[in-house]
Amino acid sequence: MQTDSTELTLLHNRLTSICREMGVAMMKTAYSPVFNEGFDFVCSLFDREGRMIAQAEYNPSMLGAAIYTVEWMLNEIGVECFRQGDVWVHNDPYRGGCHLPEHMLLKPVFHKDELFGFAATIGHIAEIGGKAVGALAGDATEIYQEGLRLPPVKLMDRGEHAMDIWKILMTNHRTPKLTWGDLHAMLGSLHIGESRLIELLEARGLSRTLDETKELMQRAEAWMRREIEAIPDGEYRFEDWMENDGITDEPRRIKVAVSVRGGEIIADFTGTDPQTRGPINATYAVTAAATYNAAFHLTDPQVPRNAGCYRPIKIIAPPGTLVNVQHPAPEIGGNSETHCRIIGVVMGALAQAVPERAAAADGATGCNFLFGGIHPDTGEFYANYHFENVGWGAAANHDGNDAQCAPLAISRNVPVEVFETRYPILVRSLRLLTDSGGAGLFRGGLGTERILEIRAPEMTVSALFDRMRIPPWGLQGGSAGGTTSISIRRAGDSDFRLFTDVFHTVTPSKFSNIIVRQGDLIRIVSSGGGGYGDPFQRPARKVLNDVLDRYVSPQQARNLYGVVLREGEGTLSFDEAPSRTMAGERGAASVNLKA
Amino acid sequence: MASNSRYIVGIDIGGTFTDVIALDVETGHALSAKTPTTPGRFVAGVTNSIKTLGVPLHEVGQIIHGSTTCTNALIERKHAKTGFIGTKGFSDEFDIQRMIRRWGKTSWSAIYDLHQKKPAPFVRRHLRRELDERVAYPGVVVKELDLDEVRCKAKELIEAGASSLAVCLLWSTVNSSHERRVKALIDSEFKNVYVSISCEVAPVVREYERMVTTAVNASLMPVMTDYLATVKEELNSMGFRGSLLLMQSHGGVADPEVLKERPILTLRGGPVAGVVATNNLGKTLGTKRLISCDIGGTSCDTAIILDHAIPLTDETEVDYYPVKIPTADIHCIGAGGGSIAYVDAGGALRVGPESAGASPGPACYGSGTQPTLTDANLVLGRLSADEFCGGQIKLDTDAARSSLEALSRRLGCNVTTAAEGIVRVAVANMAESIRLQTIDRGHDPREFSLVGFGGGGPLHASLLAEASSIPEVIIPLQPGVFSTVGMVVAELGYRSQTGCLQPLASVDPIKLERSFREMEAAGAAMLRTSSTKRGDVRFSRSAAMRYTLQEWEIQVGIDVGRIDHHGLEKIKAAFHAAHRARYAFAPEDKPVEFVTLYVDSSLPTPPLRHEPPVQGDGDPAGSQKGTRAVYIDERMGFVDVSIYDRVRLEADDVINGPCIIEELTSTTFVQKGWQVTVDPMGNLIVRSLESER
Repeated sequence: MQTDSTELTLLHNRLTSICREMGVAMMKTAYSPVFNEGFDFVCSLFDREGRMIAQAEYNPSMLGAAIYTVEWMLNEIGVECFRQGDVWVHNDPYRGGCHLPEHMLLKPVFHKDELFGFAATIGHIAEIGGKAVGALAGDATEIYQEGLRLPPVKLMDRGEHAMDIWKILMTNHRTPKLTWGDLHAMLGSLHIGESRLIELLEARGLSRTLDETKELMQRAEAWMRREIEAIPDGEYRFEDWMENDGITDEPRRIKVAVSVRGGEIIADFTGTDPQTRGPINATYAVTAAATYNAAFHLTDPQVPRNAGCYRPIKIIAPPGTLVNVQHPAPEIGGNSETHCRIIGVVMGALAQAVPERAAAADGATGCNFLFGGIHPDTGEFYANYHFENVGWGAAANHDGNDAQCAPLAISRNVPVEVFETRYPILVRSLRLLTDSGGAGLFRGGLGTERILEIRAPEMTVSALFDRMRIPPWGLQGGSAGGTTSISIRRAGDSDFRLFTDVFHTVTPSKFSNIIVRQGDLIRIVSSGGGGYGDPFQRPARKVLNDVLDRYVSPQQARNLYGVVLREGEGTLSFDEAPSRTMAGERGAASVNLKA
Repeated sequence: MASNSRYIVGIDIGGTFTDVIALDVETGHALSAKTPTTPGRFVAGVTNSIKTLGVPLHEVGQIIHGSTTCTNALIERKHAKTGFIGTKGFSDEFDIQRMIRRWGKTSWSAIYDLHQKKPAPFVRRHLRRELDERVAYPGVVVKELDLDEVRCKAKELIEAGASSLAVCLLWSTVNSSHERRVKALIDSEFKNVYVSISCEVAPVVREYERMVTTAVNASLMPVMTDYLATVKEELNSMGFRGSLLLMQSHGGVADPEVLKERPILTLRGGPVAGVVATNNLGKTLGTKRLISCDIGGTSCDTAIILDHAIPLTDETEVDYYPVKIPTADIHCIGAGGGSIAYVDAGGALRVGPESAGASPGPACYGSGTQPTLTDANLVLGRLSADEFCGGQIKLDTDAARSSLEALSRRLGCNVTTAAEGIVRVAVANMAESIRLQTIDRGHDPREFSLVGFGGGGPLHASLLAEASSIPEVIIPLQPGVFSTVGMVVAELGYRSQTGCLQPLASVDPIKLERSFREMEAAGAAMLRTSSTKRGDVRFSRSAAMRYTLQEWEIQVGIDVGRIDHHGLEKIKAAFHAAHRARYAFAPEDKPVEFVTLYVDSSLPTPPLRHEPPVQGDGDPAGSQKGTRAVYIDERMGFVDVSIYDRVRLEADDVINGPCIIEELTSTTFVQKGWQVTVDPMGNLIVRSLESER
């Protein structure tokens, strides 16, 4: 059987490589920064029954949802209706999708007139019409306000542009040029995936390849089951909060009981609050994707990623709740903000089973900031979906990383020197925020502060943030990480103030369509990661280094770590003995795992 | 030519062996040797190896080598303590960075690994200072530079112990005046401090990448200066009167005096030599489509050579730090003789990227226990236990076999099948790497020849060609030391670049022509200051271009003579074609823009001639030295095949595979279905019989 085993390894590598190549082509040719710098897309291959046979290492939140999206599309369209050269587009969250900006493009792949399967990409189209520029309206109350909704329809019909659909897209999106470029980048990527898959099928034959991919799924499933078997059996509970839904300023609870039984995980979200009027609801696909994401973070990252590795993980999400929203509620924040929180509760639950593999909470928000308007230099409409990096949680043997994309995605930040060529904004600063990492034996990663100066007569802005009041939790006595904020300093003013104060928005974190003007400054603060373990146990030398590099202020070193620093002749030294015995101000919101 | 510069010597220092070649410029003939590396004692290694060749040091006119000094200093972080001066508000980008999370153990760590550690900021926060100045796109000064502030911040950093300073200000790619003034002030007011400014080191947009590149360069300036001082002094004391040249990452050699300002250009100077050698071979043979394939102990380095040009990229990293310098586009994968084979938790056989290296080395070297690719080849009879590396290393077949036993138990097969599986997986990994550079970029591998060299290249080349649909393999003379040929035939050359962010439609051809001419003049000046050679400087122009609104560029060669409107149209057409070849579509009605302009300036080198083999009659029988049992495939199993001695082969000899050809520095395995012909220069031309049908 060894020959088969080696052949299977080679097949798996080849299929993964095809997906990677699709991704590179997409990234290099797309027009929107969210693609070409942000990697907010996925590339994968499916068999003709809609089972994922391979994917590449792109946006994990979309990867988990894609299996539901494709399943839905095959059911709705009917597998017999796909023709060579067709490409179908689909973005409806209420048809197995994640949220409206995530457009799935699906292209059938044939071998000698027989359908083998599909090349699939999901990409975040940044501007899709709707209530607010950039789609993420923090105060939407129906899905109809969140952008143009597409059921599965043909974008390409036997190789030709299906012009009716293109016309509708180009008319309804505010920045049609970008939509055109991004969709063509996706089409190019699908073409590459299709060509490579056809070559592969010519060499191996269709039925053999189908048999082998089934075997690959079984192997991935078996490996994932072994990974889960290594987690102690039990039921682990956790809960956390979304601080508001943008419509009423009250926290909403997400609750999970994660059962580990042998090689299977069941995540049961019963007890989670009902779905909300505002846009923080998650579809079932989002909740499932977030659950997979959490489970994959706590198991071997090398498990092959095809339909098999998802099978041992089951999700129970009662309809009508925040984690399984029903039409026509808005849900655009479900895939960025609530997705993060679901990852967090599942990881928090499993942390009790495998504390050595767990980490404190990451910043867990996209700090989504949307803006658009007429560019004074070109007279053309521009729009942007901007997000921030957050601090990651500390773990049992290391500090959290500073400023990286929350675990729902792998986006890189857009360089200032790219950003400023596209939008009438001068970036005043982009810094790490001192003291934003949760204190602990291991310190949480730092969040960032970014200040933007508006350089157009007016600009429309919207926000969809969370973690502004309820901070990312620490673990085992570690402090919580810093919270987010978005505030504005009007031209001529001296202070930054929250949008609730200046514009009377209902919440400070979620709003839409606020008009700002030339010379206004907008300050965006992202959250830090939680700390791990008792900060008083952190070696004073490390605290000193953190102070030298201004990751920690001397005040926090004294108050939270009990390390008093003395300034000598151009150097700092520390004196820990007296203060460290004092009970300092301890971090709030720390989660303690059982011994 | 004066007698004291009769030889050009090329030296390639590896982990285990130092390879050396001496080119006699009067006759064009070359001598070469392999000697043990003397770690930390460069000059001793050089002089020993030159002595081995019997070449008097005082007759050596040039010594060329790919220095690993800067690379090692960077990886071991033994570079200078470096301070950074940037625009107010942005120096924290050193911490923030902007990569996807892929510094974990595997590629999937990028999305599912909580515990990977972000690389430390290249310059720590307490060694960074900011200036309250600002240039905005497209070059407008928003806030003027304050020289008093520059003086004050530079002083603070120097007092904090920085011996090098890196300066990178926002938008210096479109307006470099602030950066240049900062440098002028520091140069005039502070002695004994090295300064790099980003507009000189790497004038590319995207500030994080540019600031790190600049800081890396600054941190290496003292390293390079010290290194050159030591080496030159020692070589002079040994009687060397010639010049020392260093290989740059893009495949040209340079005078070290020039590289003192840009030591970063030497970072990938080692691996590129094999590509230069391959390109030289292609020019000699008149072959326009080659794949250079260098398989050593730990890696397989492959590169595509089209139309006698070394492929370049500026997307390089060292230790996860972006290094935006022109670099030969070499794909490196962890597949070499020492690559370790294992069964993963899912039951799949994997080979590499971990390597047993030189120590402990493959199990058959006697110290290691983990099975490697070399162990598999030994068990399959493709390597000889007694003739490995000319008999310098005796291989232990029993040790290789026992290392494979545990692996075969996990796979549920016998040792031979396990060994065959290891070779197949390793070859498939290499084939994937070649596929990424050929098919995936629109090139048909059936039009290429694969040049196999390095210790393991000739052993795997025909298997790799078969797996990649490449019909022809070329095994050059002395394949084990082939890279050194690249050192002596490399051209003295520089690549200049300048930012030019502008839509093609609004480009004034006269101004564009002027920009290129200025870069050519600068390139020529650099060559003249550093060259003892004569000859006409050759220039070649290219540009990084993209469709407006894209963020990533494609480099397009510009060969249209003096640029006019017609020339601009041709450039545009070349870009559309390149985009189509690479990404399968080209929206020709969309506007195109320039991002960066490049000029390569070079001086040719004297030709290299190897002693041609004796003309034979086509019958290789005289060079056969025996037979041994070699594993062919599943159907044939082990078969007794003929073993030939390469040095005794004659021109026009023809041998059908399967066969083995042994020589001092390497072993060539020719698979069944392939046929070897010895060409008039002594290269082994291995062709697939199937492709000729």
